[in-house]
Amino acid sequence: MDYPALVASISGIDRRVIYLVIALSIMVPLLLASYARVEPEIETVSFYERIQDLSEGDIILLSVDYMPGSASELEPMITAFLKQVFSKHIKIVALSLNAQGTGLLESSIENVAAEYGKNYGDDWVFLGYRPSSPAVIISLSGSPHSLFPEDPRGNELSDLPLTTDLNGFEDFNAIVAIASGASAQDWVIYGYERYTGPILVGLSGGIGPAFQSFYDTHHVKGIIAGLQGAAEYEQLVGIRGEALRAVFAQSVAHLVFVGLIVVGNLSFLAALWIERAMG
Amino acid sequence: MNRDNRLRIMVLILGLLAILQFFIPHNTGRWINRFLLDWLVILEFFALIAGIVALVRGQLISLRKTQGNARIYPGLFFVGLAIMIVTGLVGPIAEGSLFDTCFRWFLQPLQSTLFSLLAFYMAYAAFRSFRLKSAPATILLLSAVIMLMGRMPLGERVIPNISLFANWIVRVPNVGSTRGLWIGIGLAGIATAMRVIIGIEGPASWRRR
Repeated sequence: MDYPALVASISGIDRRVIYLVIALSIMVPLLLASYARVEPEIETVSFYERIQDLSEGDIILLSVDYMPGSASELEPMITAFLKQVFSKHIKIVALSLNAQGTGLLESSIENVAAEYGKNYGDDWVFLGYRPSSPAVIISLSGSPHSLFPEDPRGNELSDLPLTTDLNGFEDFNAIVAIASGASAQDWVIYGYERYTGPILVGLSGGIGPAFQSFYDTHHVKGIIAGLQGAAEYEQLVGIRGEALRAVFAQSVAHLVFVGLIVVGNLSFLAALWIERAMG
Repeated sequence: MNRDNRLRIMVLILGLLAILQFFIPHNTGRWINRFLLDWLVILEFFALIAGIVALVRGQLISLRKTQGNARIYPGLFFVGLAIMIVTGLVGPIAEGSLFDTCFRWFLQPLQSTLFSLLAFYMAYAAFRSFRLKSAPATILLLSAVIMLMGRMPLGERVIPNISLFANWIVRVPNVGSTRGLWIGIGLAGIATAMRVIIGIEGPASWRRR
């Protein structure tokens, strides 16, 4: 067998073949609709238990700050979270610190709220978007009405039953930030010092590990990280949602990634060996 | 007093006020803080406008400089910008509106597609470049493989207990390095803020002069 030629052909494999392999490794498991079984990590369990510990009528401040590119990771997370919250009759005051998150969040809440028969104004309110996350977080801690005099639907916050008596952070029983960028970090930096309750974060996979140090120091009391975290959360809430389906496809793609790394390195080492053998 | 020095004094006063209110638990201090924060939000709105203006200028230059098919891209930008501005200003932006439809059926899939392309490029880069060339490269490669296998449901079936190693990487070396990073970012932030307040650091126009 012509080993040098074989090694050269493996090393020089066309990029389109690799693209096709990756596409198939994601599409086939998604089409097969297989659901994964995951083992929840301690950070995800902590997030879930903090919500479970809340009582009927408690209010959560939900900040959703992400762009459509991260929706596939974060939307299943939000849906599972809202299902847990509304099933326990907990109320939600939501806002977005990212202009593009506004459109994504309101429809997510509306769909789940309708499923659980929750009414706008009584059980949930959407404050809308304001720029400058540090300023918004600090202002919210003491004067939410001056920062958000009315919601995007044109209702004055003082007219809505849920927000009439809202005075600041002390009215919230937990703060939940679901984000793909720096705003979750702003909740820790500017929110932690002003808020005595638990701050919980749901993050895209890329920034999840960066928050591990905040979990260790108890700045955040729970983390859902990436699609894997969302799948763990769905399992804890007891739903078979998008994340449990997608994480199976992601697993297969990860295996293909590892396979590609192994094959790439074997061909690299073989090329080195052949080079030395041939002098 | 020239314009630069007036700016320096304004920054010094506002900066000191923003710092001092943390140490003076008085209603006046709180009022000043709220006043400055309201201004910060307003300024960020203007920054958004400045961003849009800069983007439009950049695309206009590109439209003027490019020829043939390449002009499609700035053209598409202006069409998209006009559609989103007009639909957002004229009609409602609630679910089911034209603005929402454009967001949901154009912007959202386009951004998701752009983001998902990363997976393909990363796979190819992993195959071509992730090589056992040196000791640091080997450590990086092993960490990547452990994280890829250890943070997914199928990984445990292929390599039992791999998640223990993945969790160790996240909870020990990762925490140590990110904590150092956060502390460094914090200290650098304080240093930069002090330089701005004292007047050493400023707009690019100061440096040019």
